[in-house]
Amino acid sequence: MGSTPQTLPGIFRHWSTTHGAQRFCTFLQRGAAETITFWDLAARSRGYAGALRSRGVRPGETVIVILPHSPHLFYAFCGALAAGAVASFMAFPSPKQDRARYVADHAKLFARIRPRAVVTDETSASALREALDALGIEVIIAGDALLHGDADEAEEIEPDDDAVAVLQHSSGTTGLKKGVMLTHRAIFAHARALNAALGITERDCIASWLPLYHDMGFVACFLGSLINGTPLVALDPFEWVARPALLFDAIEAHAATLCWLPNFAFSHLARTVPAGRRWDLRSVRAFINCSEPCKSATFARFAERFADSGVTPEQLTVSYAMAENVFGVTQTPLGASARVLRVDGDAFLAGRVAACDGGEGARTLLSCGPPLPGVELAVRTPDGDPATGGTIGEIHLRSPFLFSGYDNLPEQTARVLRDGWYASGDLGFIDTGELFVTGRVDDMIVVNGRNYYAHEIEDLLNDVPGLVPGRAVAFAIENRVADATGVAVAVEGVPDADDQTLIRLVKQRIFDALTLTLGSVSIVPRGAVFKTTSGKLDRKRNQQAYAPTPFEESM
Amino acid sequence: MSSERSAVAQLVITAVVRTFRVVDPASIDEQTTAQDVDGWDSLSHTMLLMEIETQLRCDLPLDEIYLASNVGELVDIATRARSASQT
Repeated sequence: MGSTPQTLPGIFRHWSTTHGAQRFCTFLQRGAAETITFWDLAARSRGYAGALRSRGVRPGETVIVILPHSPHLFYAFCGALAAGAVASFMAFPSPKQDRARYVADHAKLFARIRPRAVVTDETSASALREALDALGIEVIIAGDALLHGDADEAEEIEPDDDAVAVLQHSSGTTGLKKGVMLTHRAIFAHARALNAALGITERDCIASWLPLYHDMGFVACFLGSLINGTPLVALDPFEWVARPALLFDAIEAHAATLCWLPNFAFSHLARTVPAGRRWDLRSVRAFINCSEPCKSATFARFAERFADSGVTPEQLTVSYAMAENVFGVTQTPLGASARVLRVDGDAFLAGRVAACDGGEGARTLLSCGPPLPGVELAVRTPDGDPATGGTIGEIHLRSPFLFSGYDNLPEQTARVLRDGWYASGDLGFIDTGELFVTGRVDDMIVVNGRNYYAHEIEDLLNDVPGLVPGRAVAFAIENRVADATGVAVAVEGVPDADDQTLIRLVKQRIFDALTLTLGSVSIVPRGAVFKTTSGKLDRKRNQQAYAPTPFEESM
Repeated sequence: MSSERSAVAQLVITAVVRTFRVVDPASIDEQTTAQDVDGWDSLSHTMLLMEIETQLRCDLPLDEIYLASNVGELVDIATRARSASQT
């Protein structure tokens, strides 16, 4: 990779020139497979670049891509890069999401981040155009007509290595999304580190169902394939949720070697794939679990369920990752089971780690592995001192590929990025050089690999008719049906309000804003939401009182 | 209501009760929506889908199944899918 171009538009032009006929992606949808070569990718992206430039997009301006699963996701994104723009994926609205609210929330966000253009499909274009016209944002409808673009406008731009290449937007309330700015230099430095940890070569093949607006699907899978010239087998996330076995069909058919999955996906596969079906999954060098708390029990279930398909515990690895470090921070070694540590439960709840042999109350923690080459980790107390003597503290990191800040949010950037170190907000400890993640400093809840903040959920309920403003509390629960983490709320209703109506209103409000389905809603009497003596919501106590199932905090 | 549809309706309601471990089965009828049932989200919807498909021995159309707004619409989709699989 050393002699290849070190910018994103440079690299896909390079592969187009040197390996044009080589497969970039096999795109799977509704039983059909479309092969996209590097030549196809470069040519079609050039078409988009011309179209974007002819609509006024200039180098350094931001282009947002909001599309359902389609090869145009790749072409529009790479087209924006080829035009010298800063490219960013955002989630396409769910069919059940209120479109008017989706558009209003995005208009609010776009008023802050000021993209020059939004590329979307025809079902969303007119509503977005109506909302974004006043902001001077072009809304462009994706489609085959753009693949040929305007040749005169398709001049090739080679950005500076230190220019911002992409924005990765955080999940959560749309209007509050933070755009993580990543330069070409950071993205390529990260790729070198991840490649070293995983031993990635051009003989690898990545299978993914992950959406591209999520860092795991975006960086590990899409950008990984783009930078390394390795093929990507891309499934439709929507189809995968309903037909999880499609992933194994794809792995077997393409002899895929790498597969990133959040913990819930391991669980979803183990629970839903019909008994008796077998595949040859021996080609996989690593299934990589990250983006949410990784559980040893989930690994054990997955390994046992798919042992007859060739899955071994040694294939199951763990990574700690975040958009602020491009993606990967740590990675457990390949070819060995991720290390499991049993710690005393009482000490753990008191914020300390004391190894034990098991027994009542013991917590089982799964290692996230050592840091990637070049990444430094520090675990600190709230005062900023090193957390020593088995104390759990906040994980800080420094690396050659740390983000440049949050787009247009200098205060939020300054809050977390100090003296070259990023304060992750995650809690954990380091044991014999390996990182263990144990929780969060704040009220963030990870559901299906996406991050939600309890206070944002509570704020969204302030204007729901029939609820007492300021008297809603959100907390994590176990979703026992899906074997995953979920979110529940307890809310105080006004007298005579119909509980069933309120529950529907609350669930719809949160789904429209966050595409999060609440696991349960408890309508509680006036004054029944617990607050601390200082008047803040007491989430722990509310969780204990209103969670339908007990919630385990450990991994 | 045809007897075919009635049989499918009973099967779908039973599948909802079993999948989501509904404590009061009488609370589930054709007007019930996913929002009325704790734990019914896109992931657990797959469990329900599989339960119905196993019982009916046919595949349900994904494009439609995730757009159903209540149990009654699920029953309609399942009834059509079963009929199509038998022709």
